[in-house]
Amino acid sequence: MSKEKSPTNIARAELPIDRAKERFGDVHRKLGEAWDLLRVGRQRAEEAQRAAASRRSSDATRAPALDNPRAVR
Amino acid sequence: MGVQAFFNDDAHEYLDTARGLSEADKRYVAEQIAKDDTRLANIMAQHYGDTVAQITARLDSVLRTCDAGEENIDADIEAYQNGELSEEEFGNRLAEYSRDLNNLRPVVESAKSSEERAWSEVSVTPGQYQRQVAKRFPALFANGRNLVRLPTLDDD
Repeated sequence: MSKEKSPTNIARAELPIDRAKERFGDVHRKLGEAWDLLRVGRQRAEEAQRAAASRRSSDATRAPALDNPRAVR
Repeated sequence: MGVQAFFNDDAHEYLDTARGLSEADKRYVAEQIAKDDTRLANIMAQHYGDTVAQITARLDSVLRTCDAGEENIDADIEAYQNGELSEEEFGNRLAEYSRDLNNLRPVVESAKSSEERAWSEVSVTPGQYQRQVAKRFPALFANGRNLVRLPTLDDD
């Protein structure tokens, strides 16, 4: 296809606008994925922390039993 | 003496409608008009070329930044997954990337309309271009060239 020309014969430029939009979109998507990854990582870390806290708390309640394995009163 | 803008398209109209001009005069006027057409066409080409060069440079910068940014994000994702980057470090880096990307957004979003505006400004005849410039910059234009002094009744 021939280039569009102005009445004074200026050729219309073909700029890499679509390419720039596409690459911008690629990086935007990639960054979104990275944020998702961080979110999941944070959730897992919080869950692990909660689980650890819960374990500590149940260990504390079980401690007397461990000290007295035969449950002698 | 009154001052009135005499535009390129006025000259064309004059040549097309003037009566009583000798062939030699017509040739002379046509030559002068052709020179003015060329002068304005060069200005228009430069106007559009400058704008296109500016937009192209910005888009090239977007493409370079995106290429580098994508590589950096990939590397950081890998480092985070391998435990080489803490959550805080990873989060800080992602925040920086997001800021940079937001700075690029206006360049990407305005490129098309900037080019279209520049194209519409030069995709006209030299006379129309000259009138647009006069309309946009009336003071600068009136104090510049492209004026002819015409005798008026006040001059008597």
